[in-house]
Amino acid sequence: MQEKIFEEINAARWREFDALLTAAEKNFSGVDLTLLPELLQRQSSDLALARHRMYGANMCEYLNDQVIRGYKLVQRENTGLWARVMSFFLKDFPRAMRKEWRLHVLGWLVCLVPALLIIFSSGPDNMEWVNSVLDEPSKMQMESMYGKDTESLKDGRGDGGDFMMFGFYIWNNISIDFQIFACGVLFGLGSLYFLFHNALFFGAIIAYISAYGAPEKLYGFVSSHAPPELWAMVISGMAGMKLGFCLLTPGRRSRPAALLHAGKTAVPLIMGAAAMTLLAAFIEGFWSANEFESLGGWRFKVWVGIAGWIAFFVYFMFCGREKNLET
Amino acid sequence: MLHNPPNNRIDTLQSVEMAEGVEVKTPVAGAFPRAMALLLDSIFMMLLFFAFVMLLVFLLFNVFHFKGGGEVIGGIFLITLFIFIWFYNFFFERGKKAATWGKRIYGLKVVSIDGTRATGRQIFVRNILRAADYLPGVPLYLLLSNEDAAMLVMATGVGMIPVGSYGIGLFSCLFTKRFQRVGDLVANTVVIHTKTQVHAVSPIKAPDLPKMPRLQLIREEEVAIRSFCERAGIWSEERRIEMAQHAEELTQKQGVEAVEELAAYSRWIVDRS
Repeated sequence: MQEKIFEEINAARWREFDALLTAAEKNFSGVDLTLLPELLQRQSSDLALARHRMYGANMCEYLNDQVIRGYKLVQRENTGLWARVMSFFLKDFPRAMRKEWRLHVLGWLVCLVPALLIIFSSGPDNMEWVNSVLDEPSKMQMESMYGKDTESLKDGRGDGGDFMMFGFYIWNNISIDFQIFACGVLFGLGSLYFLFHNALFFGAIIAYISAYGAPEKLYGFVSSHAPPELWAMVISGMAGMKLGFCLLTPGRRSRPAALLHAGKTAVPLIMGAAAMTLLAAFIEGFWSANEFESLGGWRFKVWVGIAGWIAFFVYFMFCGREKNLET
Repeated sequence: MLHNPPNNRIDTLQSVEMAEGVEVKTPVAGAFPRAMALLLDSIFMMLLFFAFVMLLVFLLFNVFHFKGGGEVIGGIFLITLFIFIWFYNFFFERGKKAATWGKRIYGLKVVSIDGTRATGRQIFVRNILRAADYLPGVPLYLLLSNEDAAMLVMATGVGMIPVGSYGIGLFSCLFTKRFQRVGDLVANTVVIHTKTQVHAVSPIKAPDLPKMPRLQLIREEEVAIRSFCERAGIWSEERRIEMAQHAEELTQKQGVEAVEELAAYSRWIVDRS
């Protein structure tokens, strides 16, 4: 069939399709779309025919363009934002955590082993490891926050100060989470390095303050926000390692395909980690710097911290286990 | 007769097969326009960031008559910084044009690999992974040789702003078929040109008689001959001859005769279908 004849026969339907597309792209819900799938199918077969018969490049590209536009409308996402957020926190995130339990264990090991080693190998007369991790300015800073003679924060930092630190924790801590995740794509090395490095640093601070400072000030300040913050750091590392390790052992997929597949599990993890760090920033900004003298001071905050660890453990273990027929 | 099998060839048109059974071609964009767009975006992001912070502060103090210290401004500054650094691209690529301002200037947009609109999740992933693609890079404060200046940017919190070379991203673009950086690979997205290219058409005079080619041709070669003849009028006589002589193995002709031979094949291909 000649190109011209083909165009004459079909041009009316192409115009109809074009008009429908234009209308639907402007106002999706206000247009009757019952004809869309059928028209798209016919348009697709026209494109295939035009290509096969080698009609001119312009006709092929016109049809190509229309098929893409129609496909976009047919494949549109149509669930509400709120439903997706709820289903994410109640199902996707804890399920992804349970599915990747091996990486979860590995992440905690990479954090806990160096931190505990440095804590238990150091004492007031043996600070070699601590000295090699903390430089003088960081020691001074720790001293100024948790030293024996430091006035500890009583009723927050004043309204402005609390808000500023809240902003700082959002910027700094969530950025670190994203960095741990993204650098994991370098064969997992980035995530392992950042987790290991941060764990050594935390361990050294605890060891240093236990030896020379006032540990109850440190524990009082950090314990309430530690569960979401530390856990989120480990989860970011899990997500990063998920990406990186699939490049090392892609299995039966090609490496790009394996990366794509790993991304599907890694994404809920990093999104959950970011949400947890946001929660931690709220606690650290507006709660941790209060003293709660009447409730038992720093001991009260440590109990809150322990409750936090248990709550997150229960959430990851049991949330989203029920079977649902929709998915 | 074809020396290079189609699947391994480097081409700016990449085809994707869709559920409807037909292949669509997406014009993927290379590293250069994307790098230029990135450069522009860094500037836009900075300007927009400062404008936004100033607007917020103005509203807070002049419209809502807030009585408080500079610390609140510090908090606003840091939260805004976080949002801009990580979500500037997300916000615009999720928007209607699917492109940041820089990309729009260069006529680019971000789509899923099958040419459809990328989902929020895909755009989130490709932009978070900038933190890997921008390597080798360092935080801003390491670039300042002056120690006082470094202390200052650290104290204000902007010291952690990433400054990178996008070396890994470039490397990945150069070694993947669709010019995808690592973030694109994980998110299953590509950056494409927005404009459908309109080819100038100017066919040469069709010969009186069709002629069957001496050798069996594959479809792609037939398409090449067809589009050569469809567009041959655009070029000068010498250029036509030069191009036609590339097919000497097939036509076994020289000069003007080679062009005429190809035109006869083209006629044969058209008449056959």
